[in-house]
Amino acid sequence: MNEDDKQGWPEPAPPQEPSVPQVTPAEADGGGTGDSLELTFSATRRQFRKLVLRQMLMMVATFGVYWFWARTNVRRFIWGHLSLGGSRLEYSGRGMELFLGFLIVGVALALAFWIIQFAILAIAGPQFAPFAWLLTLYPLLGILGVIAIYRRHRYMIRRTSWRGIHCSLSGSTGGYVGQIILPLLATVFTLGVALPWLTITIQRYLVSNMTLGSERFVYQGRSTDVFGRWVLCWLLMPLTGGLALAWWRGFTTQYMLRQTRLGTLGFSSEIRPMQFVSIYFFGALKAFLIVNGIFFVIFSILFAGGSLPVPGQEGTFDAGQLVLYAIPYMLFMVIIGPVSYSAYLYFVEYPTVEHVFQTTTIVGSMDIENIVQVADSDRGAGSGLDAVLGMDGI
Amino acid sequence: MSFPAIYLDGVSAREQAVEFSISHTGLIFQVAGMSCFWSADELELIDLTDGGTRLRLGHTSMPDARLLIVEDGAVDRLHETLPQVFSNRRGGIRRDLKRLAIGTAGICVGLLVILAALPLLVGALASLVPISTEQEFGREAERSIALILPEVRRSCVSPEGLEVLQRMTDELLTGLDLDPKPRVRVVPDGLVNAFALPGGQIILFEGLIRNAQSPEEIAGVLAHEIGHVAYRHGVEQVIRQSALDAIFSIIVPGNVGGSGGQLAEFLASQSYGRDAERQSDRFAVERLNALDIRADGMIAFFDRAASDPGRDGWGVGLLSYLQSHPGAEDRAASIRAGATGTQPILDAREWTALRRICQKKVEAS
Repeated sequence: MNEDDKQGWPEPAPPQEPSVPQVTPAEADGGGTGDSLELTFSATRRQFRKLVLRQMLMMVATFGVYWFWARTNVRRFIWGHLSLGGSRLEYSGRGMELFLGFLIVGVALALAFWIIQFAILAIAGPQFAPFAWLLTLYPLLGILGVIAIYRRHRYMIRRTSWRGIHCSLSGSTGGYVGQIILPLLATVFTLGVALPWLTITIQRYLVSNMTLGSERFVYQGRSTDVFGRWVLCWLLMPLTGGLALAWWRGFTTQYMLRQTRLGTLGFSSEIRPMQFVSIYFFGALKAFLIVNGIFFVIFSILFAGGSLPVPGQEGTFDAGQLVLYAIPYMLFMVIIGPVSYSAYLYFVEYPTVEHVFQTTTIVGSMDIENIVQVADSDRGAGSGLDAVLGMDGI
Repeated sequence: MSFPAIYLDGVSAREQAVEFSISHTGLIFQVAGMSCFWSADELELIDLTDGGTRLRLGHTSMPDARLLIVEDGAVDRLHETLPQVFSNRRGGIRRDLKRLAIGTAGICVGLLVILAALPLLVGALASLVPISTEQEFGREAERSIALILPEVRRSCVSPEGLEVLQRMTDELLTGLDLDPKPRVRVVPDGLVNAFALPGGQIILFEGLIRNAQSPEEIAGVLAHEIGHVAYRHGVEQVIRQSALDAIFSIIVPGNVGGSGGQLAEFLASQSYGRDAERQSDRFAVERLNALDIRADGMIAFFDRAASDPGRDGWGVGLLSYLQSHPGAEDRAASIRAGATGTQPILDAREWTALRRICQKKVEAS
């Protein structure tokens, strides 16, 4: 640029000795052989509460449609407060992507359900139709649910970047299904005893296909390592009312972190699985009390006058029936839905995530400069499947 | 005046300390001995955190490059000099609301289209359902109803009554070639009601016959029920209900597929909807007119139903008929307007025989 082009500009700083800037890059002076990366989570519960309340109000005001944006904002908040080596993660996902993904999957599934329901009715007859429907529905939902885990993680990973470097997840839904189908069937037919096989397979597929720019993650876990503890959990499940699963979630998260490496970096995790249990128990209790409190208030207001408006008593036309049926139902869902979701996020998901980040450290060192951007692979559409299946949480 | 910042080039993970200056046209800074100029209209606010003191800026042409600003003074100066940067916020609420408004409008339009198109679609799909399937639905519905009203398992079969009933039915079906062919039976229960099941089975309750003041009332009700069979309203209702269930399972995220078990219940509810009822009324009036049968009975029936306080629920009284065949006042009026018939359908002897149809009862097959 010529001097002339800089009209109206402040004097540029003269070429200089590097003055000591007030902000220090994490890289050591002179580009060392390796840097250790510190993991910090700087969010506070108060900040998160503010966010959640705002999202909740928006969700209620938009009859729930805002949910996709709410979820995105929550993720952006968490990513944005997580730093590796002093640099924050970025989440570039958009609510609109989730929303469109949901519509696409939603329409496809609605059509599929309609056709299947009707086919079952015609083949099995009305007498057996309910059974046939359940027999078809649950396996279908089971498989879709496991697929949704993959697609949700894939979407989040592909929208994550650090210091401008994108994360990516290779592999495909088909490849994933190929890997998990046997463990899934084994889990079902052993009434859950084989779950570690499924869990570890999913972990392996997700982690070993994940890359940060040019660096690939490596997963070293094996299901045999964790089987013992799972059997104990499985036996304790009926006694603990499912809280053993919370313990399991904490334990497997810790295991996954410890088995993951990125180049010469490893993850050390001091997660306390019992903390998960405590969070789930008390969190669920608090959420339950709040949701029920609100439900009670709404119920009293709505039905203060008299009896429930019962649909179908008056013969009504299609739209009328839809409206009579739908209005009380939707009014209820419109308020209770966002409130439950928000309570769950605040009392259960957030403390869990907070605990994980606070107990994880990155060990080893690595030459950060070696991590470079890789040409953008397919970014993919927004994950709609988990939204349709209602897999809430972050 | 220049400020410190961190620059990420989006190519490697290396952070570079830079000093940048702000002008009304953009930002300028030096990286690796080269000058970089980020113009104001290409600046994108990625994130503003920590109470507005940490700023991440992006560039629209270099989507992976970042300028990280942490000094308060810098952020304030940016606010003064380039305020437009702060309104172009990724994930900001203004963008959100705009998109949300468009999205919600889109959904509403979509839903309206679906609702408008649904009756047409349902009609088309109903014609694809084979008769045998429809008859199976009907049998199942009968079984379900029998759980609530055990008397439905029995039929009234006094020989003279049956003969009159058959003759009346055949007369009403004159000139029609319906598939499935309607079959009528009377159930020995005091309920003042009648319904048509998918597959052609029509059930009249003894209470209806006893309550009637003329045979033309029965003829009118019977013609109406034949209308339901002719238009296959039962099948349409099944399709419509499963469509609504499917749509609902999706609209409410996380609430998938709860409907299977309600089907039988639903078939039993007999509420075909106002349009279907009106269609059957028109059919009945046309039938009666074609056979030159008086419609005053049918009109009188609806007049009585409209004014009878009756008793609520599946109990006694005309009100129970009303509950599954609503809008008596309007319907009486529209029937009155269209009816032209003049003749009675049964003579006194036949009418008496019909009223005594329940003197003999059997378990229905």
